[in-house]
Amino acid sequence: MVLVVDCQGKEVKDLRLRGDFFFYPEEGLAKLESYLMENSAWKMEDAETAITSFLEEHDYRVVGFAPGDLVYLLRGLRC
Amino acid sequence: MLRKRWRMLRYETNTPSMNMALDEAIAEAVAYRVAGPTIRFYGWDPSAVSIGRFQDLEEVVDMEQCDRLGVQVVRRSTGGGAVFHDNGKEITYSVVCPEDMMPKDINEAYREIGGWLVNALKLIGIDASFEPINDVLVNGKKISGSAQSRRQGIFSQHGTLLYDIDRVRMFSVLKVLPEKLDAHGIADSTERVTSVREQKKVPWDYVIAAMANAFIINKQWYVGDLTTDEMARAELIARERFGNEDWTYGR
Repeated sequence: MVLVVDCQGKEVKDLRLRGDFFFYPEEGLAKLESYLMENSAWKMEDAETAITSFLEEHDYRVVGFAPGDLVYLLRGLRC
Repeated sequence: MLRKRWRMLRYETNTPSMNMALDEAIAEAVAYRVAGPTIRFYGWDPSAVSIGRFQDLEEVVDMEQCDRLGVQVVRRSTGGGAVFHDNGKEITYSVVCPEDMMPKDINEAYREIGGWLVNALKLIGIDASFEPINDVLVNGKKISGSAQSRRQGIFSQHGTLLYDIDRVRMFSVLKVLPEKLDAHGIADSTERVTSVREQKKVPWDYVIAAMANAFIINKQWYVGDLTTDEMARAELIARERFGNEDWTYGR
């Protein structure tokens, strides 16, 4: 999985997740990306719990990566 | 009865965008209950690379090489990785049905249909095994992969069985990511795959017949056709989505 980030100066303008994973329903991935942006997930103290709750709340299922993997990428996010 | 009786569509080839559109049109027809659960076998003409819904096209496909070889590229509506569908060298299947006809658990559903493929290979004398998440292996090498989707109460899964393989051609159009190789511990990506013909010299028609037999076992079924509405809908979906560069290059 790859985290693609668009920056403007030091600010994150957009982010997208790419890779050969499965996300059910597929349309839900855009909502997860919006959630990560709106909540500046890379700044969250407990992003893993927040992402897990978001997925459960919407009944989204992911095959191919875990919330912890996503948090690992978010922690390395730099503009 | 329509709901539980499987419609089996005969093997046919189509363009890449039409192939993907037909799977969508069938799913819509099943969702609206104008078609029953459907099993379809198909090929690709011209040859194509299908990429997963969430993949970056240029990261996984050598577009210049595709152009040189006349290989088209289509983005699937399902997730997963890039697959090379070489015309006459692989058989693609799709299974579309109401979600309640398949295991609720995604991994279990992969296992179920993976089992059908294992049985098909057994019928032609090849010993295969299902490998989670979604692969079928022969002697540790991948011979089949699949991608599943669930939308509006409809389960759909498509996947491919390699009948023959031109490794040079396959790996000239697919870019294999270094981390993928590490994950499987095999340095040469071309050695990670095998085909029916490498395992056993079985005629093409036998393989299709074995797949059909293994897929319909213990089911009520009939050999059917696509409806005019499904064809018309598929032509529209092919034009507007799968044949549209915004969809193919987007994400």
